[in-house]
Amino acid sequence: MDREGRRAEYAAWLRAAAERRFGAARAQELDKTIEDAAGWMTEVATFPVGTDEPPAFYLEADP
Amino acid sequence: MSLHTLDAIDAARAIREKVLSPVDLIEALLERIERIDGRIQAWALVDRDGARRAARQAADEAARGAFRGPLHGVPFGAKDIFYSAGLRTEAGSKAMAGFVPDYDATSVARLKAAGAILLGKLQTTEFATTDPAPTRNPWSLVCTPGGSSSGSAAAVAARMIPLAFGTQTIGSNVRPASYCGLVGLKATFGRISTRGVIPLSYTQDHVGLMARSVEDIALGLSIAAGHDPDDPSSSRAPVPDYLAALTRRRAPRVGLLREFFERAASDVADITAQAVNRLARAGADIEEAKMPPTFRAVAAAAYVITRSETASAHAERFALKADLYRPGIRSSIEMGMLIPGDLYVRALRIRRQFRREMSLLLERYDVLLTPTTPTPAPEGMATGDPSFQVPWSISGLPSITVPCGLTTSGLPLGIQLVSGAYAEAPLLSAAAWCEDILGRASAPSL
Repeated sequence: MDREGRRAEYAAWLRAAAERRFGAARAQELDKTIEDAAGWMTEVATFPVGTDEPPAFYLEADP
Repeated sequence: MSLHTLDAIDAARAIREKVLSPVDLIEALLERIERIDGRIQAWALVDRDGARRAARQAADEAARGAFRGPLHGVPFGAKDIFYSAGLRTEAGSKAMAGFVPDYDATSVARLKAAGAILLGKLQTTEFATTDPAPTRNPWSLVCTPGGSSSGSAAAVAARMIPLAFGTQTIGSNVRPASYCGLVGLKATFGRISTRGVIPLSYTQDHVGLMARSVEDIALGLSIAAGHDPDDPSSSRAPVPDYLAALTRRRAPRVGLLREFFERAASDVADITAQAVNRLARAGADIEEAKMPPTFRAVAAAAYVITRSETASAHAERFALKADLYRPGIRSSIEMGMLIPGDLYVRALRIRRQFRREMSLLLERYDVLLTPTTPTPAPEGMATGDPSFQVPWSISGLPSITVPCGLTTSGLPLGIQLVSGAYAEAPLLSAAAWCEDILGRASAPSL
C-alpha cells in the first residue's frame, strides 16, 4: 500500500474508533486532529527502523 | 543595585557574607510582584506568609552562622505542576482545582534542603500542553512568553524571581526561556528527578531550570540533579561539580546544524548567524554538521509517544472530569486513547535509533548549535513552535539556550547548544564561554 493509502486507512480507522468511543458528534469535532494523527502514524509506521532495534523504556545505560 | 535584580548566586553570596538579609530580599521580590504581576500574570500562587516565615528563619540561622546550603535564603519559583507540600498545585486546570499535595516534588525538596525558599507557583499551560496560561511576555505584553513553562520564564525575565523550575516534554522549558531572554536548561533525561511533577509523558518529561546566567543554572543543577530512588527514570550517574566546570571554560568545537537555520525566519537566521560569526572570531572551532537519517521521523515519533503516554497518565482523572479539560489537552488525550500499541512501541524504537545516531554525531563535537526557535515570541496567546526542541526532548539529550541578541522589534533570540548524554558539565562550560562572548541579555523595561 502506498503512503497516501496508508494515511487514508489510518484516518478512516481513527474516525470509526472515535465514533465508537466518544460518539459521532465528538468524532466530528476531532476530524482535523484525526487527519493530523493519521499523518504522524503513517510516518511512524513507514519509517525504516532496524529490526534489531529494541524500544528504550526509561533509562539507557548510565555512563 | 535593586535587590530584585540580584542573580541567585550573587544573592547567596551576599547572604553568606551577611551583607544581605533574606527578609529584605523576599520583601523586595514581593514588592516587585505586587507592582508588575498584574500586567505579566506569571504567578498562579504567591506564598507571601510562608516565604516571609522561611526568610525570617533563614535570617536567624545566617546570623548564627548556620547555613543550610549553597542557596541559603535565596527565593525560587516552581511551575504549578510541581508538588509543593501544603500549597495548591492546580496545573492550570479546573480538573485540579483546590488540590493540595502533602509532599514536595523531589526537585523542590532538594532546593529547599539547600536553603532556598519557595516563593510560589508559576503559571503553566493546562497540564503543560497547549491550552495557554494567561501570562504575557515581559519584553512585549502582546506576545506569548512561550509555554508550557510560561510563568517560570516571565517571572525570571521580569526580575520577580532569580531562579525557577520549568519542565520540558516537547519544547516547554528551553523555548520560553529563549522567548524571554533567559538561559534555560533541559538536562539529560533522568538527570533531575521527576517525582512529584504531574506527568504528561513518562518517558519524555524533563525538569528544567531557568535563570539569567549560566552560572545560576549550574548552581541550580548541582543541587537538583542526582539519583532519586522514588523515580524509576532517575539516573544513578554521579553528579559532577557543575560550577567547577565553568572555571574550565574554553572555546568549544561546534557542529553547526545548518538545516535549522534554513527553517528559521530570516531575521532569526541572520541574527543567529551573526552570533555564530562572533563565536568563530573569538576562537570557537565551528564546522557544519548534518542531522542523521532518523531525524526525519522524530516529530512523528514524539507525537505518537506523547499522545499515548498522556492518555495513560490522565486516564483515571479524565474518566471522571473530561468536561473540565480544555480543548487542546482533551483532544490530545482522546487521540492518545486511540493510537495502537504497536505504533507506540515502533515510535519508541525510532527514538532509540535516533538517540544512537545522535550519540555518534556528538562524538565529533563539544556541542551542536542551532537557533533556539524558528521565530521570536509570536503575538497572541498560542505558545509558539517547539520544533527546534523536539529532537533533544525525544532523545533525552541535554540542551541549553543562551541569549544572542534582539530582533529589530526588541524581542530576544537565543542560540541552542546540545551535548551528549550526561555531558552537562561540558555543555555548561561551552554555554558560559558563549555567554562571555555574546554578553548577557539586558532587562525588559517594565
